[in-house]
Amino acid sequence: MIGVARTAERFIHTNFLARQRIRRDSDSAARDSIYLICMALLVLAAFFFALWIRIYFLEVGYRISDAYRTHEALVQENKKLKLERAALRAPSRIERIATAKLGMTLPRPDQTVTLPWSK
Amino acid sequence: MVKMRMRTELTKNIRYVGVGLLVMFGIISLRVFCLQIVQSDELKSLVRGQYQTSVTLAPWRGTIYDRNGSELAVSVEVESLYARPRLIDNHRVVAERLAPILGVPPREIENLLQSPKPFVWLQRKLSPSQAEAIRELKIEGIDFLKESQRFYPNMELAGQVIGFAGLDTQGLEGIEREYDRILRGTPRKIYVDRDARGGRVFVEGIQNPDQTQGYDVVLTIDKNIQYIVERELEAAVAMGQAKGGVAVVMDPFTGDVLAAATVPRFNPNRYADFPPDTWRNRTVTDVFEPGSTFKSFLVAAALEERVVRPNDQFFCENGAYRIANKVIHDVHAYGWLDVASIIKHSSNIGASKIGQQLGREQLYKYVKRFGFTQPTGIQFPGEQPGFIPGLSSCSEHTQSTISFGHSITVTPLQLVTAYSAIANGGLLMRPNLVKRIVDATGMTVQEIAPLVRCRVVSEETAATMRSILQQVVAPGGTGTRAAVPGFAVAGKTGTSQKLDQGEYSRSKVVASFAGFVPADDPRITVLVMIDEPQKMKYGGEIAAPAFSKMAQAILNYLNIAPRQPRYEVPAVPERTWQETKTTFQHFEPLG
Repeated sequence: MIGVARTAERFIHTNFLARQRIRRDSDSAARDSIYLICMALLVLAAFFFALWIRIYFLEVGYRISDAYRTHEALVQENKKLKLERAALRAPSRIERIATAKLGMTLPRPDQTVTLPWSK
Repeated sequence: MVKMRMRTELTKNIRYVGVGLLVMFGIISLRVFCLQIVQSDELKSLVRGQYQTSVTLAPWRGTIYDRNGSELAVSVEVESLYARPRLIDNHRVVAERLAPILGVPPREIENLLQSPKPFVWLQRKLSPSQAEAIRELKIEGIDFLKESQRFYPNMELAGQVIGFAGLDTQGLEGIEREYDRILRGTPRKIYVDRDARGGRVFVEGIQNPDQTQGYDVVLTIDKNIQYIVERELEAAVAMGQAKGGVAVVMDPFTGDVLAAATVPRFNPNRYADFPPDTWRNRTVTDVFEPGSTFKSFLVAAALEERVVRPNDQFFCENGAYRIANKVIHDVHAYGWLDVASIIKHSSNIGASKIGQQLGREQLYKYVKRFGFTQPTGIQFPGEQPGFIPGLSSCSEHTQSTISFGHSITVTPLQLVTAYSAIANGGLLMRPNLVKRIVDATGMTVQEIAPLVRCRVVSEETAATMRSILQQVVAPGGTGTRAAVPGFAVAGKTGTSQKLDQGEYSRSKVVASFAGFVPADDPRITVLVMIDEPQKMKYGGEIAAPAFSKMAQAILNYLNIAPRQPRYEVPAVPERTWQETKTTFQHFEPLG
């Protein structure tokens, strides 16, 4: 911070103050003022940075909240679909459709043909 | 000079001001230290109370699967309707609008709305269509809360095994109760910020949201085998006009219970509509006298102890045998029978004599070895151990009756586990109902491996027993109707009289068949037990055919191809006590 202040002072002195006829004690006062202004600007910058970080955290927090709600909704949707699938695949339902609607029956032993295992 | 004095005064004043500023700065620093460090925790909690709130992440109950990953029990979110009576102007109008949707009389709803309480439930766990219809009414003072509801998508299938969860999703019966702590999950509290509108801001994030969900339980039950068994059992119970029935299917080499059926069944989705005694899994909670199905273990013990050989002859007293002051009867009168024929024709007298030869101590030893009169260790609540009279109080007559499966009580699970020991070469397995526990991400948390409890008989004895038990299903045996075309079947029929007011009843029996198939390479052990059939009272008449149908369908499902038996099963000729011909010259044990 001190280095920045010195650099600023040199710049101002070279480009502005050196071109004016200023008494010795005015130069010193001006230098002090420059230091103070630079320090104040830095403090202000730090304050705004902290504020920006806080707002950013809040925004991320809202996004997490939304994402959590979406996650929960999707988990529930997934469970409901699994439940529906399980109900559709219930053996009693499958047999009912196979026998009543499609006219299928269980094969008799004489209807089963065992094929030899071929390598 | 004056100028210099003024300058000195100025410098001194500046110093005083500087010191003053330093002191003030020091006080402020000290105060900041007290607030930030010393009183930090206290102030944080105060601040938290103002702009933070805690949120409890409600746990979701884990899912129960069958061995192939099919859902048997699932929890989903449903909406429950509540009212804030003070915010409702006209209770009667609101009640009349809600009544047709909720399916309750308007008066009932009006009574709830007139409650002095600030919050009342109107109906818990609505269907989606009900919630949608009520939402469209846009009634002030009523709202919804999300709750978890348990569903069993296969209805009655394996109802007694799975059990059910109550209104607050706590396990009340069956696996739901036994594994309640694992299925339930753990609620987790996290802190979130509140914004000006009261909304929640998760500034700390949510680590592992799946951690709150309960673990999933994978059973050994196969949904399709369970269905086959329940279907055939119900048909047998209906055909025999029986009181009920039980059937168990087990993998003899792992002890996995592939199906455990109890009839009459119940629907866990509406458990309150069924009588409580239908909720019981009778394969583990009920005991019965096994009758002739127990003879297999008597003969196995006698063979193992080498007190008998398969072709030893016993005189079966032509059907009536006096022991002490009581008479033991056979269904048919037999003369000389060898050991295999005693099993084939199920002679009680022959079994008594084998039991006498074995001796009381050895008999009791093998009762315990085969796992009877003690819990099996299955992961299920309410298991009964069964009963046998104490050794010291076992009379000669009691020893005889134990030999043919009376005066001893066993559970169906114990019986099928003991038959599995014969099927697998002599090892008593621990029956398993749970295969593994997995977390919400699908990772296995615990795997339950097959466990050998002990060796009950040698492989040689088990092989001999497998051959003998095939005689039962061969022509002339009591269990010919248990035969499965294309497969060798080994098993034993049983018809045991039930005790009725202290006496054995002639009308109330338990008809059973226990066996395994294919006999030369067992894949399944099956027990069918029909309780109090009114028609077809013998095990060979009602339980054996049910066994055959179940076994055939299960072997089809498991893609096990039919094959002829390895050897021809010889017919065993009838003998009278005058004939002393050596039998079973063709006998050839497998193994």
